[in-house]
Amino acid sequence: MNGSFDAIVVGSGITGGWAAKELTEKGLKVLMIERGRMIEHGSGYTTETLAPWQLPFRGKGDAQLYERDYAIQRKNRAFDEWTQAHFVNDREHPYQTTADEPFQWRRGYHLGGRSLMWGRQTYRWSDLDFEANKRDGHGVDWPIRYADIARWYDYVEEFIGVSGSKEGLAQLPDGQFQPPMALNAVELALKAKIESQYHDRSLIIGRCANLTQAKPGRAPCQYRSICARGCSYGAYFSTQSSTLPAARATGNLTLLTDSLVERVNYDPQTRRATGVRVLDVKSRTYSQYAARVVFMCASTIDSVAILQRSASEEFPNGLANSSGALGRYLMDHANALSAVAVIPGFTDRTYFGNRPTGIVIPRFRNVQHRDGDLLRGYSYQGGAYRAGWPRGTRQAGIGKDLKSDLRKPGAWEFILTTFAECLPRAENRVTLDEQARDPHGLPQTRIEFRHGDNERKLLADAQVEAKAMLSLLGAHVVAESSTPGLGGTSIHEMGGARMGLDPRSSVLNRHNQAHDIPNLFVTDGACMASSACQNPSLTYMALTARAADYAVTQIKAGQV
Amino acid sequence: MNRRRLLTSGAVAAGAVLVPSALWWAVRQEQRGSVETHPTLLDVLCDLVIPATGTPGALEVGVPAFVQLAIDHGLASAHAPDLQLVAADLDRRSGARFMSSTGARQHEVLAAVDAAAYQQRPPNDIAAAWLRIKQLILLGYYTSEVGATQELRYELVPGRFDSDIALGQDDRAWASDWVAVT
Repeated sequence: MNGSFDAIVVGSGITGGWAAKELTEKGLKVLMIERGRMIEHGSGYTTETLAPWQLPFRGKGDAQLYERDYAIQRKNRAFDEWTQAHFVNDREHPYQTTADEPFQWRRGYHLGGRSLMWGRQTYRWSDLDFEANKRDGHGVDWPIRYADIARWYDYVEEFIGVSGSKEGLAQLPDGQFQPPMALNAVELALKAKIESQYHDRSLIIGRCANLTQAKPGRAPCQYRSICARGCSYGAYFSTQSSTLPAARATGNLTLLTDSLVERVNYDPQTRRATGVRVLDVKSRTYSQYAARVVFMCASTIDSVAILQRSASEEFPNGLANSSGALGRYLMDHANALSAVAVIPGFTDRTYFGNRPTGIVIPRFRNVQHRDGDLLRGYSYQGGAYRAGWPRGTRQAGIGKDLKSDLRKPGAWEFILTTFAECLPRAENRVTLDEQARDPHGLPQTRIEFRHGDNERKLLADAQVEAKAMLSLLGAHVVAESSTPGLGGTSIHEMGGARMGLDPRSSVLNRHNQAHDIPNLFVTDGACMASSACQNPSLTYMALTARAADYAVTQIKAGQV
Repeated sequence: MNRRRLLTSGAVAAGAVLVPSALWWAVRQEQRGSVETHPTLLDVLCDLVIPATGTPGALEVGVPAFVQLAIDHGLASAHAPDLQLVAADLDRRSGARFMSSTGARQHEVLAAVDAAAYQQRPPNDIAAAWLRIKQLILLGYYTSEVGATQELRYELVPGRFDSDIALGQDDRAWASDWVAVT
């Protein structure tokens, strides 16, 4: 045994950081284990201030290298020459998927995980979402309702800092917001048109975890919008900027990096998790760590894979998997670039600075009444901007005239992308492929995922409605789609260890506690029983804080 | 008059129209203090797409070397045969060696290649090859320090967001508006 703690937190991303913060602040001695390298706040953001001309490939990166080593990650919008070190090397981190619809697993293995590169969009769920499975029978009923999580949303928002506007929308509850960022001229114009044309639709500023007011140790947003490089101002929520300093300040945190949790150890006598077996990926040596309670926060797919690797005689199909649900009901929002349009006029208006959020048109389908045979809903994100120099590649012209044209901002363009709710389906799943091994000798993760008819119907509807709304500004649509991006491309993968009331059909109870093992908690995206259409990270954080509170209460009561 | 002013003055621009490109080239290299006298096709293409005006053009800021690096590493899906395809098309349209033509003729021929590339739906091989090279020339120029800070404007730390302001007649675009330039 290499060490004994009150709690072990597996993973250091958005939920791992929260688990570490909450558990250490409540007095527990916590070991947080990160499989990737250390990235210190500030000093670790090595490309943050570099200009394009200071990079060999001007920010675009070495396409040859990307083809070889980042074939999956390179397709991510946030992936570029500045941020490439925040994404895994795909060649070194292989996984299996299906040939016809290959799942796109976007990952960052380093301290802070994807909290460093996340999109920072921060939305509450409502009872429209928590009651959805029960209402239409897809998936198992959530064991919680909005009332169970509302105060944890408050708590998390207050700490991370969320800028946003209060709108009084039932389907997108207001929260503890800092002042909102502003809409630009074209966004304001479309907002006015939409809200006068449709009684049940609105256009609002994206709620985001970028500060508009300082917090202790964190400066407000500088409107660079280069967040994924890392922000030494600490202006957006990440493990590094927020939860890690809080956890460290308690003196109760031990942090391991370059340490891969191979399995969670289980004692069939006591029916409890006893700790973890850890591979030091640099020295290639194994260690054992013990704890009273284990929090799985390794990200949706990796938390599931670790539990599957922790199979034993007692749990031959994966730890805490008496239900058979472990690995199943994987979801990811169906996304499409519903419409891109050129907006006429407004040529004398512009903006200064780079706002790190866009607009949202909240869900309107199946909110106030049933909408035909569509189940659930979708919402749009996007925004308006003035086209920059790359438009020169899309228009004929060379020489002085071209140069003179590109010297000025181009026409206004409006983008509307859609996230549509993904229904939970048993066949969308994560398994281990014993035949294919990763460089550590561990079985590779196999991900099977396909979108279904309802997701396609939602995106088809979203395409039609996007064009209809943009036409209110006389827009000229230049691109449109309703074809869902491959699974994983929303980077909202969730499910695989779903919460539920019934131990026979779900892995976790209403406290994110394994039905089978009282001292094992899963609080990352794996716990989700449905997907809603909102960006999910805030809900993961609230569930993590809530579960940590429960776990400590149980420990103190001698129940765990 | 310093070299920069001379280079961007009307006299040289007029000369470019009148004399064979190789000769004009030698004049310009002389003005730049360079010993290089034989322009490459990439040199000429860069100069034609983004010429020197009130600010330096793509040639002066070293875009040819960047485009070559970009082709070697497959940026914008470009690859080595792209240049050969475009070169052959330019020669064919010139009715002679493109590189021996006058600057005015080169401009005329390249403008025709460029216009044709946008007519093709989807673009044929030659059109696609030219569009990739054009894309790399623009990338190389507007991400250069001169292109980003002299021709356009660049501000790493805006520090604020002005959501709705008037755009003045002479206001340049922002090379650091990451949404607009990505």
